[in-house]
Amino acid sequence: MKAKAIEAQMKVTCRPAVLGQALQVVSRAISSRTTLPILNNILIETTSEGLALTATNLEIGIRKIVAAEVAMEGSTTAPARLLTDFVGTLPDQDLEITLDGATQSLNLRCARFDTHIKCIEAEEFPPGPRPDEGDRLEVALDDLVTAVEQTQMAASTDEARPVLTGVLVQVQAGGLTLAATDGHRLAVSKLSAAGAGDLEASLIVPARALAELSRVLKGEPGRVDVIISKARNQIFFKAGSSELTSRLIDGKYPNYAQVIPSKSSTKVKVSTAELTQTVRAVSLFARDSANVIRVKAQAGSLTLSATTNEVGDSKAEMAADVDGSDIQIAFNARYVLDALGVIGENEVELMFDGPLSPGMLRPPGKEHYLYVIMPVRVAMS
Amino acid sequence: MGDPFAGVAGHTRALDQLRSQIDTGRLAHAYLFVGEAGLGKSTTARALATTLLPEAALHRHPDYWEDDRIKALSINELRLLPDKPPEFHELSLQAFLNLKPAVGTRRVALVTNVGRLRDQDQGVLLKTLEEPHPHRVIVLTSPSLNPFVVLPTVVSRCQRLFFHPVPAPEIEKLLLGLGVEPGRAHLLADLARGRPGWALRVANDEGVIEMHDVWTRRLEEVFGAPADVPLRVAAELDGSQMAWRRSEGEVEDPALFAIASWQIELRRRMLSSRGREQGRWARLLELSYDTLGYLEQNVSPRLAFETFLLECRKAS
Repeated sequence: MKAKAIEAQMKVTCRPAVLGQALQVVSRAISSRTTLPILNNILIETTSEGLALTATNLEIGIRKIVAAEVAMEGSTTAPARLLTDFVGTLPDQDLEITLDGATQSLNLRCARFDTHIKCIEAEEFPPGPRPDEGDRLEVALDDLVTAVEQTQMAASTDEARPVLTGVLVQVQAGGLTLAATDGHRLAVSKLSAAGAGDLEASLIVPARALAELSRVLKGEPGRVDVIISKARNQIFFKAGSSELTSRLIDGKYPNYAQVIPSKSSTKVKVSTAELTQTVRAVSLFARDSANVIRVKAQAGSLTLSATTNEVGDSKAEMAADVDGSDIQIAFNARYVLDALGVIGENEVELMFDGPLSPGMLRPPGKEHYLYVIMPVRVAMS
Repeated sequence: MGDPFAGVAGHTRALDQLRSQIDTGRLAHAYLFVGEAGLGKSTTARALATTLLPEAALHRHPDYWEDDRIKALSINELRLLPDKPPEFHELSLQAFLNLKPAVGTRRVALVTNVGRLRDQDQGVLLKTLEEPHPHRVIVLTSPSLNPFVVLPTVVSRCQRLFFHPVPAPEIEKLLLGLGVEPGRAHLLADLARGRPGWALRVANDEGVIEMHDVWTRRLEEVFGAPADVPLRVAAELDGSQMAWRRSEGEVEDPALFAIASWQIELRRRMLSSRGREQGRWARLLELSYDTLGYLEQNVSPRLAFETFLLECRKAS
C-alpha cells in the first residue's frame, strides 16, 4: 500500500487561465448528487501530452487535456466545484500543482497563494473505457455541430418510447446520418465522413449528450474523430485536446425512412427569414388552439392563418414560388419554427402531397437535410 | 469462482435457487426479495450484483444503481424524463436501465423496501419490470407482500424469493467468524430474533447487552411482586416505545427487544426446572409469543404488556 502511495505523487506546472477554462468545460459533466460522491470530483492524471481532466455523470464523460509541464507523474481526483472556483480566481502566473500521495492532499502554489485541497484516490473513480480500440471515422467539426443542432430538437420528450429520446447515429456508405423523431416530426441530417470505409453501425445517442457536443469541442481544430467502441456501447467524439464520451441507449430505432414522403404534388420556395417571421407572428393567435396554423399555397403566394375564438385571428400572405396544385394544410407552428431556426439557408423549400400527408421542409436543391412534419387534421374553409 | 453468497447467513433455499440461476445463466429480469428487515435481503442482492458485475467494486461501478435509503422514494428518482432532475441519483432508474452497460455485460439495480414508493409511483415501475432490455437485473425488496405495501401488479412481474428468520446458531457462527467474543455472540444471536443484519449492526454496541440486563432485571422484579410492579414496568415499556415511534432512526423497537430479552430468561428458567414449574415457564414463554402477535395486530401495546406481565407476576 505504501509503495502505491509513493507512486501516486504528482508534480506539474501549468497556467491557471488554461486550466481554469478546461475545468469549466469538464465540470459540465458534474452534478451534485449524493449517491456517488466521487462523481463530484474531477479525475486529474498526467499524460504524455500534459494534464488530463476527466469528469462523468455516468451518462456522458468529458475529458480535456491541458498543456502542462510534468515533472512527476501521478493521478488523483479533486472536488470539481472548489478546484474550478479557486483556479478561476488565480492570477496568470505559473501554477505549480503537487500531490502528496500518502495524504491525497493537492498543493497548489501560484503567486502569493499556497493552498491544499483534500482529494480522493484516483482508484475510486468509476472505470470507463478509453477510445483506443474501436471503429473510427472523421468528420468536419462544423458539419457535425450543425447536424446535431438540426436534429436533436426533434428527439422525443415522451417516456413511452425511450429509444426516441435519443438521436439515431448511422454510419453507412461512407457517411454519417443523424436522425431524430418524436412521432410528430422527423429531422434527418447527413454529413460526409472520411475513413468510414465499409463500416456500418447504428447507435442511439441520448439527445442530452449531443447537446453538450458544441460546448465541449468549441475552439478545437476543424476535424472530429468519431470513435465507436467495439462492444457498440459507447461513442467518443474527439477533437484536438477535447473529448466527449456518451453511453448509448439500448433498443431498436424505428425505420424512419418509411415516413419520408417520396413524392409531392406541391412545391413552395420561400425566403426563410420572411417565413420565420410570419409564422412567429401568426402563431401568436394559435397559442390557445393547440398551436395550429393553416397554410394555403396557390400560384405565386403562400397564406398563413391562425384563429382562436376568444382571442382573435391573423392572416398573412407572402410572395412565394409555388409549383404544382393548390393546397390547404395545417401544422403545429412550433414544429415549423424549430426547423426554420436551424435550416441555415436563405431559402427553404416546402413540399406537400395532400392535406393529410406529411409535409417536408428542406434547403432547396440540397440533399443533406430534411425535416418531415405530420399535418394536423382541421376543417378547412 | 468462489461462492458468491459466502457472507450471507442462512436462507439456504433462496441462495441455492440464485446460485443455480447464475450457473445456468437463467436469471430473472426482476426479483422481489420478501422478508422482514435485517434478514439479509440487501446483502444477498449486493452479493448477486457483485457476481454479475465483477469489473469493479459496486460503489464505483457504472453499471450498478442502488437506492437503500429509509426516506420515501421520489418519483423523480425513477422516471426516464422526470419533471425535476433526480436529487439523489446521477441518473434516474429508468434512464440508467435505458442505457447500454458501460463496462460490464449487464446493468443491475437494487431498490430496497419498494413500499417506500406511493402506489401511483409503483405504477411507473410496471413497464420497466415487465419488459426491460436484455441483460438487466432489477432487485426489489419488501418486508411483505401485503397489497397495501407493494402493488400486486408489481409482485406479479417479479420472481419472488422468500427470506425467513435465520436460526440462532447460524447467526452465532456468522458473529464468531467476525471475531465477536463467544459469550456475546451467543447472546446476540438469541436476541436477534433471526435477523443477522441486526446482530451485525449491534455486534460492537456495548449498550445492547446492558439493555438486555436491564430488561431481564425488570422481569425478575415482577415475579411474585405486588400488582403495581408489573403495571409500572408495562407503563415504562409503553413510554419507551412511544418515544421510539417519535424518533426516526435505525434503532429497534424497544418493546420487541425487551420481549426478546424476556424470552431468553424464560427459556433459561424453563430448561433448568422440572415438572409443574417447567410447565409454568413454558406457558409464559408461549404467552410472550402471543403478546408479539398482539403487537402486530392493532392491540393497545400497553394493555398487551400489562396482561403479559401480570401473568408473569403469578409465576413464582
